Amino acid sequence: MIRVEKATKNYQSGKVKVRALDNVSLEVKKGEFVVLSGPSGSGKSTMLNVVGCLTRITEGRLWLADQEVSHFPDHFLAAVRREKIGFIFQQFNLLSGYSTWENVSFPLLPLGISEKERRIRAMKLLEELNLETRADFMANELSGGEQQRAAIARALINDPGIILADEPLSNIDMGHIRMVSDLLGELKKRGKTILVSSHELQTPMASLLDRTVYFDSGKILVP
Amino acid sequence: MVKELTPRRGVAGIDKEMKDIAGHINLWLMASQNLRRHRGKSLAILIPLVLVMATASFMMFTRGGFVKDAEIAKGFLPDVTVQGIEAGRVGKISLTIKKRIEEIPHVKMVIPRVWGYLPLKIRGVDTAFTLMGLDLNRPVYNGKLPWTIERGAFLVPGDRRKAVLGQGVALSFNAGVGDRLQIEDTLGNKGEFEVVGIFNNTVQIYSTDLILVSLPDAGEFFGYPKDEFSDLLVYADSPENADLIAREIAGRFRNTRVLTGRALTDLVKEAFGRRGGTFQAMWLILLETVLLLVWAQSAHLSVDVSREIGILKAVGWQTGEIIEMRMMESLILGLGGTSIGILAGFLYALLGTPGISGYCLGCASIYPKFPVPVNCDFQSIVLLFILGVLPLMAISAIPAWLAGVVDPDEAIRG
Repeated sequence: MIRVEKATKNYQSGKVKVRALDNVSLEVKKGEFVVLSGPSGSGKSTMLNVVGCLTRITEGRLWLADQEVSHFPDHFLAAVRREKIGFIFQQFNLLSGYSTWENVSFPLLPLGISEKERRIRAMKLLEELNLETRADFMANELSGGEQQRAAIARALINDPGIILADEPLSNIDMGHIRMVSDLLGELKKRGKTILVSSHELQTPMASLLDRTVYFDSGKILVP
Repeated sequence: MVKELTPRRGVAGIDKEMKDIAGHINLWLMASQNLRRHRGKSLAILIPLVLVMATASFMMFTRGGFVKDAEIAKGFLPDVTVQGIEAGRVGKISLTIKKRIEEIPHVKMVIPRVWGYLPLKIRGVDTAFTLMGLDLNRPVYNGKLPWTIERGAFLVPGDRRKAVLGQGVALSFNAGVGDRLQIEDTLGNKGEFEVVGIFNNTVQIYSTDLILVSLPDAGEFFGYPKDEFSDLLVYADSPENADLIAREIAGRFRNTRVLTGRALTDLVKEAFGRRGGTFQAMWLILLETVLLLVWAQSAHLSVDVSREIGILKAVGWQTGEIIEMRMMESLILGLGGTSIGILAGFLYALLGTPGISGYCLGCASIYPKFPVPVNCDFQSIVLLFILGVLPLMAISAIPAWLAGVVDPDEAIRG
């Protein structure tokens, strides 16, 4: 389902060249729930960005659903992100000038889906995440936990096969950790492939995991 | 062997096309919603744009009015005008020269004219009119009158002590057809004329200050000898020969000043064009201000804009879709601002450019008041829309494009 082969990712940070991934290979089967673990700056978020086609690898190859996408042009990658991937950002990345349901439905907008239909689909997800009463709130009026759930809803709106979550439990309270964990468990049951980065293994997720991959200094320690 | 065929455009194809169109409509709707959401930013661009386009519009429309007047008058001007020179200054020209010019090849007709300015004080205000006498026994202006009559009638051969007035004169004296007009200028010239007609306002800059009388009446008024005139209007047998005749006259008669019709028109166009040029320069500065403002807004918001674009790309938007939405926002702003600006500029021009009409008209302090001519044509409007909309679209698309061509992760990080 996901195959990363000898991937290297270099960043230019000012005059300093940073090697975020160093010749890393990883394979995740369809329906697997994998946690990428490791300290800050170890390369786990970069790996998620690479798999989510948010950034291109400097060297190496990437396959998604048996299709090599490493050298896809920009517009094909956008289509891959739209159709195959749901990305949950650590910093939520909601657009502040828009309501919750609008943020959730953004991926549907260029697809020509009517506003009415977009709202229906967004509301369904918001109800599942116990956020329906906040549907018309502006994104910046939501609490951290609410923003996180809205970001999850946005990642799921296109019913993608791959869910990528960058520290999904780090900014929400204990009550909602259970809810999000249950949701991820439910998604796993539905056959979604889930890749989560976490600097510490959260207890509620432990029972859902198929395996954990440890990162350090841009390398995988235990494949 | 099974040959793979290209799928024909069926129901699925049509459905996809419909969805594509609906996608574009969604983007346009979102663009218009964005303008409402970010009212402050929208108004910060819209208000200066309206001001710039209003300035550009009234400048273009009034300048167009003057140029149009000059162009219309061009058709009526004689091919060559000959003035006498006395002691290096414009003076009278004699009947002898008239007769000798008539002998030059390709000269069809020479019409003498007596005219001068009347400095007057009306209701305590200094003003100046032009009194002009024409030979009514000859086809006046070669039969191609630069004016038409709005009320009354034109002068006929043998008319004496009769006048046709420009609208500015009629307004100043509150005179109508049938009234008797007593004139005494500040130089002591006196005359009394019966008003037989009022010119219409087709060519404002030429007719508004005019009092047209017969040649002998004008001669008497200004104290000209019977065989002397202010200038001679020379008509060629063909317009192509005008320059040839002008050169011939200038060569034969050293004490004359020879002006071709084209040179006179150019003079008028240049005089009013220069003022238009001043406004154009002002408008360019204002336009530059708007562009800098838009650019500054974009630069100021670049981190936010970049982040927003990165997020949209991350959730599956194409770069083209993002740029389309941004350009649509600019298009709506540009069309709205330009339309309001053009309307405001047109109304301001129609109201006579209050506050700056003196500058527009140039000699307004001594001319009788007359409305600033306005010419609003399709070409000017198209040009204004191009100048108001395209730079705005381009300048707002650039930050979107810059953020759109990098990876979403990089754009989100700004």
